[in-house]
Parts: sequence; structure tokens; C-alpha cells
Amino acid sequence: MKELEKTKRISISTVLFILVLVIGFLTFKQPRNVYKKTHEETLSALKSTDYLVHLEDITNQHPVVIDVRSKSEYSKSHIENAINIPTAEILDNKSISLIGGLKNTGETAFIYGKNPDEANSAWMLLYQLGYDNTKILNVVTDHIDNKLVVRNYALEKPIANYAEIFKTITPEKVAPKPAKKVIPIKKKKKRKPEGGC
Amino acid sequence: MINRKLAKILSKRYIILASMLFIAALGLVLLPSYQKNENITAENLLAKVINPERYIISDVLADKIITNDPSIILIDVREVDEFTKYTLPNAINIPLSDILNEDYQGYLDQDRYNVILFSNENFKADQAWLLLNRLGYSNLHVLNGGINGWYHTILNPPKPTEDMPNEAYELYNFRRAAGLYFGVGIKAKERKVAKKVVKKIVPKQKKKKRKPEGGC
Repeated sequence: MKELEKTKRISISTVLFILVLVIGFLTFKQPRNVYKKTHEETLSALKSTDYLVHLEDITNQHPVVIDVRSKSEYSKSHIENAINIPTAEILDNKSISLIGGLKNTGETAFIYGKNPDEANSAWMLLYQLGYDNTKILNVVTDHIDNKLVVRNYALEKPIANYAEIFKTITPEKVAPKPAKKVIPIKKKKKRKPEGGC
Repeated sequence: MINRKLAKILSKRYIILASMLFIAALGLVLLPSYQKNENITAENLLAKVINPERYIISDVLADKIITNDPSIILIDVREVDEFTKYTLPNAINIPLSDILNEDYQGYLDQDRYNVILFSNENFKADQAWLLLNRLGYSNLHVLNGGINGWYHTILNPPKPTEDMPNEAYELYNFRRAAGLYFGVGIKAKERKVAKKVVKKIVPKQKKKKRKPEGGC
């Protein structure tokens, strides 16, 4: 009987072990979105400005345009045939499958927002996830008179004359340094030795 | 009789259990290779991206610079020539193309200081911010509007019109004063000279001993 109990224990532990394995198999889950591009690849993509397109450079007759502004802004006005995917929903199954489908058919999706900054975040996320069929429309959009006004935009252009405001002073010299408070000590004047009485 | 049967089943049970373990082991071989995101998942990164908390406005930054806040590091991600033309006081130049360079990681990958990235606008600084956040770095901020925004708010603020509330005037006065501090215009020059004069006094002059005066 002692032996029987020993074998029972062994079999119970084996069954438990197998159960753990089965649970492990069932709960095995892949992360939905995995970065396909490394940091270095992304950075080299940023160095070339291929990902920035002006509206008139699109040769395609029916380009796929994605609007990353909020739903309310989209409902006011948008580029014709644009699809609205707010930045917050860019990684949803629906949008990912849309862009993935475009990648499979070799089409490019053009992303725009209020300005290129807004489109940039969505684009960078998608690009790093391997959807390199996306580009940023280098435009600013304004809602004026119930119409969407789209203008090309000079990105990261410095203000031409900002050095002038300093006149001749170079900014480095103006760089603040903790000024020590110095209390000037007044020199005492030498007094001539006075005569005694 | 019963004991024998039981023994038979028991011996078979071992084989069954062993084969199940074997199948499980085979299953491990067939599993697809596990893909994982390093540092931060895309979903978490998105949550950070849509949070505007990363932006610091120029008024706040000006205040921090003027009060010599020791907790901030300014990083200029523009190219070297733009950096040499004009930059914020005490800023460090790390061009965006070199942002992953190992020499600079000491500045970026730390949790003591608040790193403030800026370029001419938000665009490049945002890109740097996104790249560095994917590496899992913390305490990164972006100067809202960049240098151009800085110019339009601190260095050259728009004058408030008369119908604006008192706060607008207060803000304007603050910006004017901050502009002077950062060296705008001729007034700044005078101010600077005045400062220098104060500094020149630093060597304290010793009191000379007076000659003994004649007593009575």
C-alpha cells in the first residue's frame, strides 16, 4: 500500500504539471503590434525627407488620405475622400488592418492633421510598426468660411531676423550667470594726520 | 485480482502521462517565436503621444531659466550652424541625426533632471522625443513652439490691446522683463554694462590703516 501512495503522488503531480503546460499554451498571446523597425532605421528614415509630401506632388488619381484630427474637426470639413482616424485610434484593429491592407496592395497612405506636427506622431508610430507605406502631407489645414483651406508649409523654418533683436549682443554673452550680490565697500578717505592740540 | 488490475492501469498511466509530456515538449518546438517589444509597447507609446503633458510652454521655461532652476537640461536638436547662430542659454547641442549617438546618452538617459528638447518648431523635437521614449527614457519634455515660439512670446511678445484683461498685461510685462533678461535690444546692453560694473567691484578693497593721529 505504501508504494501505491507514492505512485499516486507522482501521478497527481504529473497531471498538475501537464495542466500548467496546457494553461500556458492556451494563454499564449502575441503582442498585437510589434516594432518592425529599429531606432536606427527610423532615424535614418527621418534624415531623408522622403516621408514629407506636398499635396500637388501626389500623382495618384485617388490617393488614400488619412485625417488624424478629432472627429468634430473632421465633421466640419476635410479633404475630399479622407478617412478619419484620430491619432488616439491609430493602433485600433480597424485602422491597423486598413493600413496593412494598403501595404499589401502597394498603396501609400497620406496622413495629415492641423499641421505636420500632428500628423508626425501617428506617422512615426505606424512607420516603426513596419507600415512604411505611409507619408506625411506637409500642409497646414484651417477651417475658414466652412471650407478647409490647405496650404503648403515650410517646416522647421527659422525666423529670418531673430538675431537682429539682440543688436550687436551675442546671446552667449548674455547667458545668465548667477550674479553675486556684492556690496561695494566704500573706500575711506585718508585723512591727513590731524594736529594735536 | 483487484490489485493486479490496478497495477496494470497504473503502469499504463505512466506511459500516458509520459507521452502527454512528450507531446507538450513537441508543442514547444512548434510554437512561433515569441515577439516582444523592448522597453515600451506601441500602445503605451501612443498613450504618451496623445498626452500633451510633454509640452512645456515658453513662459514657464523662461521663469525656470531666470530663477536658475537646477533641475532642467536644455537640449537643442537643430543642426550645429543653427545652434551657433542662436540658442537658449546653457543649451546643449545634440543634432537629431546624432540623437542615438552613445556619447550623448548620459544626458538623455537619466532620471535626475528634466530634459527639455527644442528645435525651431515642435516637429523635430517631437521626433526626438518619440525616438527617445521608445528607448524607455523618462523625464523628457518638448518646448512648445520651439525657438520660433520662443521668439514670438519671450523675445518679441505681441502687445496686448486695450480690450484685453489685466492678466494679458501682466503676462506682457513678464515677457518684456524676461526678454530684457535674455538680452533683447539696447536696453539690455545698458543693463549688461551695469551688471559688469557691479562685477568689477568684486575685489574688495582693504581698508588702509590710518596713520596714527596725533592725540592731545
